[in-house]
Amino acid sequence: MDLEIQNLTFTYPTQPLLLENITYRFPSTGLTVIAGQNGSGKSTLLQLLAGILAPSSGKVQLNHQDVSLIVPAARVQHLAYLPQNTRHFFTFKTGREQLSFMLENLQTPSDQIPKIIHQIVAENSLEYLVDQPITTLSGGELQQMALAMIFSLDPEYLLLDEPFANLDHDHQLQLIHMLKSKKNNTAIIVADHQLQYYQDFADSWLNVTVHKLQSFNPSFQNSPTVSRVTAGLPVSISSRLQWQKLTFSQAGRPLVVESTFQLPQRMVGLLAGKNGSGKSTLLNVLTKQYPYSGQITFDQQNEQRISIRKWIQHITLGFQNSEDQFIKTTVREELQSAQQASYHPNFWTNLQISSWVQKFNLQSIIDESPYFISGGQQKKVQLLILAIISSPVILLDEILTGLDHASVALAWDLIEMLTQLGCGILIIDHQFQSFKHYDYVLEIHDSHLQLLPKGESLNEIDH
Amino acid sequence: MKLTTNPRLNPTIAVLLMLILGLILTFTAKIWLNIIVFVGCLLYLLACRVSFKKMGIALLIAFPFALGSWLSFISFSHSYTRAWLYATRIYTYFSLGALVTLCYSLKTVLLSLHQHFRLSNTFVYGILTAVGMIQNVKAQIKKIRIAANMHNQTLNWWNPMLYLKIIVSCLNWSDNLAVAMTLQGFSNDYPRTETYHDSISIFQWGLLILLALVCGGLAFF
Repeated sequence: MDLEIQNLTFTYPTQPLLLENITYRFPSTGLTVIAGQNGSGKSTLLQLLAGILAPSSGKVQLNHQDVSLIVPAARVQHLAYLPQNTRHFFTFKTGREQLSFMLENLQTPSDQIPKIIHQIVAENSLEYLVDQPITTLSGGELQQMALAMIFSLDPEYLLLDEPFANLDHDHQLQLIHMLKSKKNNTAIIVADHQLQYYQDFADSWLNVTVHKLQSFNPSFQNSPTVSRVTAGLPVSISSRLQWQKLTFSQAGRPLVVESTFQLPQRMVGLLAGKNGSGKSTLLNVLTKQYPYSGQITFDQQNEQRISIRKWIQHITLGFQNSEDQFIKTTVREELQSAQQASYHPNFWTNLQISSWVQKFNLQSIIDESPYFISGGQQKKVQLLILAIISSPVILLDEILTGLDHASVALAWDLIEMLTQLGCGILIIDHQFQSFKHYDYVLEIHDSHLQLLPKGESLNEIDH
Repeated sequence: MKLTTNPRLNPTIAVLLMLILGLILTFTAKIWLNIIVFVGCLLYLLACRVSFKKMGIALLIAFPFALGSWLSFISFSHSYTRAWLYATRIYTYFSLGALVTLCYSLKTVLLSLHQHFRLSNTFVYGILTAVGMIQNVKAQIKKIRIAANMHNQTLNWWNPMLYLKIIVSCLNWSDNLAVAMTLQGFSNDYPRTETYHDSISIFQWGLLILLALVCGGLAFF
């Protein structure tokens, strides 16, 4: 098997040149990491390799055959691709139906399909997930299932776009183990910003910069992953959003039982917990989207007495799936609309907004539809919208996933600025290198939402 | 997937029966024949153990349509016979539709038609995926409205902006779903394992022809 690109050039319609005259031959085993800034074209390059996109000029060839011309049923057995947003990977009601659909496409004999599904489910511990409605599964759970499906294809080339996104620590370790054992007889090509996952075992490093693909040597600062809580809450805090004896469950399984907490203003908190522990659901509960028992108040006013329109103006939510955030047709309109709704219009002047657009490197896509920009750019636009609105409480679901290194640092500048404006912020995040930024850590563990004291480590990491 | 146990008709036969009887009734003006077919369908639904609630809802939905055509024929052609003919015809059409929709899952019907009439797989799985999306669309509408609330805007159900947003996000999804199906090895007109299989007995074909002949005979002679 032989995968190569020749004189590849790619441009999206109406957008500036993305990839220019790239020629590269991928090795047939080992792990290749493709890095690059948000919007540099990493995902596009993977999609070109997977045959989903066709190059503007030049060729992508598998064994000297154009990949986009190989019939999908045959192609996926050589080249399997995991998209960045795995929610888009599922077209049926349950994972089992999806697996069965995939195996039927591969012309697996019908008497073997249940056996193979059973095997995939057992090998990847998906027993609990495989028959649940897809709409009820968390981002991390969908990621686990999509990875299991892609690995089961056992292709010669595995193309993975941010495979660690949304995974909890346990599953991150499992994936590292899986990649290490696969790479001896499979070529694995990943696009990612989080290079530290691949630090010990990547075989080649590529970087997409200024439309070109270049090899590089990554430098890792020797900062060990901090998993201990570095700060504790002061005794007296100001708080506006509070909940008492909060309980909610899913499909009869309790997610959080009798939690009481006062969310501090002017601080940033981390909401941690394993995949499927109920982190996103908690944010949905706090934004009137999910049933619960107990009491939630904002400024001593009961949530049940306030209309959703009013409530959501106090408490905004950054959706895990960035696309859900957008209500306008261009990025510029999104930001203008946010400016009109801003709690701090004097702070968020046109000048301030355009300076952040520059910093986040969004000026080239400002008139694009927010649907047709890269995953990382979507996250940045999403964060900027919520920052401009700067409501008293801001809940952010995996907002830092998919951001490049420089953007994560900028995101933290923005978040810290928001705390100075008086906002209380709670963030779901699985990338623990930003630990030092958090003022406190909440963790959902065994159906309990607990505030971790200073010096404690996460249950998600230690057992 | 619901089981197609006896005395059920094969899904393909049920679809054909619906089409043929529907066509015959379109060209006849006999109220009593409408009623016979309607009662026949109801009896069949009962035999298939379709719940009363579902049947009740179907009949209730048909009511405004039947009433509407009854009233319009009364007011414009002043003929009670015509009014009753069209009102009963609506009910008969509904019951024929229920014969297919209430007795079989959509998946069974589509796969059965695929098997017997070479209905394209892209069509079958396109429809199934689209129907599977209904839950997602509902959830999406909720999210769009909440996202708008954050901008201090309210998107009520009469606001065209809401529908524009829904259409844009559905278009975006349809592209993504097509890609997802391809990524899982689906391609149009390429052989794939058929896990669904049913057979139509000579008895069922005979029954179809007999019912069509009887209904046609009663209608036109």
